[in-house]
Amino acid sequence: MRKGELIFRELDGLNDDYIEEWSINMKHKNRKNQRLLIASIALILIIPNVFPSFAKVLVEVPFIGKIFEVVTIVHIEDKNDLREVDVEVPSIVDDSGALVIDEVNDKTHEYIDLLLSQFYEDVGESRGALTVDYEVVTNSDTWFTISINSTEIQASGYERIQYYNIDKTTGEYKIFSDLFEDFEVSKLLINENIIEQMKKNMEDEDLTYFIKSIDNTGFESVTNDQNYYFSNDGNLVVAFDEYEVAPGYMGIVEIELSDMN
Amino acid sequence: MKDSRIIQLFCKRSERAVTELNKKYNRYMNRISYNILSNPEDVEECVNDTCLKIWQSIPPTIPKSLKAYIGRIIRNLSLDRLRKSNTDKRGSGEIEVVFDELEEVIGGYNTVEDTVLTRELMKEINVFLGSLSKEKRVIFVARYFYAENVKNISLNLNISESKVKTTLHRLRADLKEYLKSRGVEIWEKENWSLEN
Repeated sequence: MRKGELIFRELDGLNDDYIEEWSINMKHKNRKNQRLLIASIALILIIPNVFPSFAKVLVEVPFIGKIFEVVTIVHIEDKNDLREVDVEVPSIVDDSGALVIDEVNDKTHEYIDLLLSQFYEDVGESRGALTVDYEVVTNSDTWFTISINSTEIQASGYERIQYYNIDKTTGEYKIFSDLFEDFEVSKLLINENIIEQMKKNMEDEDLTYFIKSIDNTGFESVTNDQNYYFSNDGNLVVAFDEYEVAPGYMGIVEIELSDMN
Repeated sequence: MKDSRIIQLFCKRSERAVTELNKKYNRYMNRISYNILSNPEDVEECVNDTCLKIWQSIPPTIPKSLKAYIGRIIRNLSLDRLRKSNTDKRGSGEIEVVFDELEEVIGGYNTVEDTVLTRELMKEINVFLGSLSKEKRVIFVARYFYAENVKNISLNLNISESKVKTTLHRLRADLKEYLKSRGVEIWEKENWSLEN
């Protein structure tokens, strides 16, 4: 083996982070960061600083600074020749006795119940599989997000995701419209932005979306309880289940709205 | 699909695991393999072998970075494939130029026939890369991990080809100096033949 090849092979010891930095479509990624939201002045987002420094933390509000603990309280397994069900049920553990914790726990448990009953109804006597698990997406000083992820497989797979958000600064469960001072106005601008991004992605990256005004089906508008969460950079991300706004091969669709602050 | 979910599918031995892996990383795998092999049939085989290898190794392995994990596997499989290929066809690909360039970095060192690289080398290279600006580091990784050609690097980063070339040239010289200053022994004597 020639020396150059030896060194080349040895370079597989590069740090993971460095290997991750190179991407085939870096031009597109850079453009994404520069994308401007339309008429940003009119779009007023009331989003708490998702990752503040400790100095700015308010001491009076009970949740600020608290990092919630989430545990699996139930693990449902049902496996046989026809069926494979694997469900993890989470519970936010908090000794403050706050109502919002119970509220969110109830909501997630209800949702999982729904997924299970729908599955058993759909699958009947035929083969099928259901996997449900969860992920703590955000658990900062001011915000908490948990997602319930489900994959249902019968003939083909069907993926869904549901995000639940708690604003720790107010101790409130927040749905999408709660984030905006005037949701009816903000909605229009957000929809425009999402459609613009979809069109651009279809051009640049060869992806496929369904846009109602063009395809008679698919994305038309975000809703009051639109699925959302905040990315690690603090940007608002909206999410759609498989088949909601795109063909199945696209899986779950997530669109990041550029940071407005 | 998030990487963590893909890994979960592998752990659950779900049929969807490889499908989802391919959805996200097929282009990535093809690109790396093609940069090394330049032959579509060989590339396809390496991609398939990579998927198989990942299926066989996750679990118990749970990689922290799925992308890097995949990249290393396809890279190594492609290199092994290259070695096996007809020696007449070799010497014509871009990858051979990459090997030439890397030899510049260690050129001038005392090389004795029975030698082998030390692990120290890789640690030092990582430290060196950590000291660079992101753009320089990305250019280095693109060329010497991903074996990308100059044109593709320039297009992807939106900089001129001459800037890529001069940056690479400078990086090789700087790395060479850095390794010398760190007293890294590039070669050490062992009963190991370079013919292996």
